[in-house]
Amino acid sequence: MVSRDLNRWALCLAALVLLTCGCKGEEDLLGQKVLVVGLESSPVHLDPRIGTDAGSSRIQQLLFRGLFQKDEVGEAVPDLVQSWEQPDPVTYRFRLRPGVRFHDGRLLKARDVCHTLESILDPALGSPLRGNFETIRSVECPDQETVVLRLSEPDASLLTRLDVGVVAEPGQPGQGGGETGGLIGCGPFRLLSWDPPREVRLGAFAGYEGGAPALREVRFKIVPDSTVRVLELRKGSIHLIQNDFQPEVLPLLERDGRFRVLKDQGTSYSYLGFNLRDPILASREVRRAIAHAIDRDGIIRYLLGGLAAPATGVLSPSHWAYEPDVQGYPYDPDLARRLLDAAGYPDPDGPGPRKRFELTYKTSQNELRRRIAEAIQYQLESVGIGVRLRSYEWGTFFADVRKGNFQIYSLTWIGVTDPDIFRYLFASDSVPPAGANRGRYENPEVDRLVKRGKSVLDKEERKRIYSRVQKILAEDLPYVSLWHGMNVAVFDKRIHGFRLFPAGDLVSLREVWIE
Amino acid sequence: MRSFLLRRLALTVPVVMGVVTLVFLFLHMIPGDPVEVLLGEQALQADREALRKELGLDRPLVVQYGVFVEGLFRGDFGKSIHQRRPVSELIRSRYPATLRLTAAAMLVSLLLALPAGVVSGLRPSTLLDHATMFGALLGVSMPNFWLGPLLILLFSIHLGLLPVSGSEGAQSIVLPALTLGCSMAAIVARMTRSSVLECLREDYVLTARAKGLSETAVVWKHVLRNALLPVVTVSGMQFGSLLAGSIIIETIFSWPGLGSLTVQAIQTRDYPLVQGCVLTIALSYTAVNFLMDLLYGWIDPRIRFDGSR
Repeated sequence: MVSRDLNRWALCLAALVLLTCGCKGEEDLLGQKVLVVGLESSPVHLDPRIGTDAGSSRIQQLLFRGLFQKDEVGEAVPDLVQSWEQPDPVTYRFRLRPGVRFHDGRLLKARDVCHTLESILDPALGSPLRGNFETIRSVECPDQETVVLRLSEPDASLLTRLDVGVVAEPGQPGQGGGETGGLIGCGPFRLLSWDPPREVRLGAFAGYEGGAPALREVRFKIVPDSTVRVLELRKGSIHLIQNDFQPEVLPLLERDGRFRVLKDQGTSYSYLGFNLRDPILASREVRRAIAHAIDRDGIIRYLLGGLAAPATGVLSPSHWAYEPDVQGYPYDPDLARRLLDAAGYPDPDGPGPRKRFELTYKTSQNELRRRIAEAIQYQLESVGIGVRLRSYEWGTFFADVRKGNFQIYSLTWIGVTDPDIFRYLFASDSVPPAGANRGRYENPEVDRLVKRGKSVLDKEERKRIYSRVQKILAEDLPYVSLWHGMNVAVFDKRIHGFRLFPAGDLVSLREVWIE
Repeated sequence: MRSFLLRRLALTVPVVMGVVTLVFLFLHMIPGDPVEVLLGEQALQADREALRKELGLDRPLVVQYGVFVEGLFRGDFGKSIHQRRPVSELIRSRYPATLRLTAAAMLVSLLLALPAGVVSGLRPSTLLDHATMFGALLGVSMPNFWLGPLLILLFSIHLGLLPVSGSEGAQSIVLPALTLGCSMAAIVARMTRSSVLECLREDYVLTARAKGLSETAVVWKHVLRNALLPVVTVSGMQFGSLLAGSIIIETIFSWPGLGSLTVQAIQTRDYPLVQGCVLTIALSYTAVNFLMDLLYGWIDPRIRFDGSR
């Protein structure tokens, strides 16, 4: 009797499972010119004046256009600007391209550019970009197609920062609220919907100046787990992933005939940072010994799947200001040991377990970073440096780094474009919270050079200045340069026209077409 | 019954306020500055200070706590520092998904566990019992982050029956509910088995059999109802903890629930959002406990709310 009842239970359960499981096939969105891109995290804010995280920036670049945009070598090239002149070192006069329309059909006017910049400079908006434009003294619109910027001092990197998206001035006829809360751009795509934890949908803008994109729609699907993102790609519910996956799955995807894989050098820069106020790490010989003790090639080959190239400095080789002729630190454990002996830290027991000294290495809880940290720990211990690894939740880790509460740590800089970053990272007055000189590095010559590099407008002169900066930094080693990451994109082979950009931008989606 | 309700309601307030107060204190003790996270490193110091003032973070902790509590009594949880939207709106956008997943996972758990536990209890030391308990052991041993992708591989990739992740459509809830429900079912099945075995030894079961009742009637009318009490307790606790959200399941299946919102809020030091999420979780837990207490009374009329028997 009981068995009969249980049989009924089992039948009901099976029916329930079958009912809830459809045999629905995957809809062919690509055939409908709808491209689905997998993202690791949701954009925080689509307002280009406020959302500065990488996820937000990549989508903003499709919705908005700036006065300038960055090319593949990080140089500013005109976008909304048709022509420009600089009558004196502190004045820029931009002439806007005529006939550019916003997504609501309205023509772009100089007032929109002025409104964008004025709102960024207005403390009430709370824009994180305000510091980027602190040299702007006034913004003027003498006519509908001209914008004049007057600066308080020469600023050589201003043009690269004028890639911020221009938003339509509010209160204009025809403007609505919609999904962007009234924000209207003039990029190749317009915002259809934004459901923060799930997806962002962009539709092709028919009135785009260069012609409407071939794609009808781009959907950014938020899939936090990297394994599941790859499974979605294999199932066909995602059509393109750029970066954000474990290196070991790449050979699997390369062998799968349904996908195409693109790889190219990126601009991300991974490094080991030192606290130069630490008595041990204040010694340049110790820092050089650490640099020689790290086998970068081995880590790149075995932990990163070959998806990186050893770095010699902050700037990648593709950058116009890159200096190749700097001191290098090839993997040489014997040299590392000799340097440590000379620095006054002999190995107390040779091959025995006692260490010359101990350091604490802080990192985040990211799985790949921890594995890299373990590899570096092993390599340093093989030359007699004891390493205590400490991984922390991101907020705690970053707070410690900013406060100088560390001995060594590892992180990555992404989106490195203008060489003014050297001032931000290494000028002695850039110690947090003023900048990102987290290691408290001090060098008067570097201070002088980076200050000059910011104000000199001649490109060749800037290149000479930053060449000298890179050489000094390679000798002083406030950072040990590890590698520049590669950008990797895997996508359905029916997709054509997609290109990799060094900073990982997705702007080439405007040129993508489906076979 | 009325005095029971009033007593429970009166107890809820200090419990919830205690939880929220502790979280408030711990949140402000851990390193990390929400203004730095929001504005980034390149922001001007003047802007950081202005934002800190605007958010009230420059005030003494006691004042901040007072403002928070005063807002609670007005039903205002404040605004998320990071997302610049009302906390209540963010929680409202996530809580239904958590509720749906919790209910579905509980359904899967009970549908799997109750029959398995009853059968095992009725057939102790048989092959069926050993197989069922082995299955329960497997269920409790398999971590969610392993089981989830395995189920995706089987049902989504190889069989093509279900979506890989996301929350669109009725089918999308199957795999996350199955992943969560399996591990919960294991615990409930073992609890049900023990409870059934214990009830079968009671005198009233012997009496019922002696009276000539069918085995089905003995099990359904006498054994099961008495065996359910401990099961209700365990299930209630599981339900309550699931309402806090399962960050692993939400990450694997891109499920937009309260767990991922809470973790994200902690990582960005979004104080109002963390406090709002914790308050929601605490209220949910106390509500579930209250419902469990009511359920006890319905299952076992001997349990009186006024303490009499």
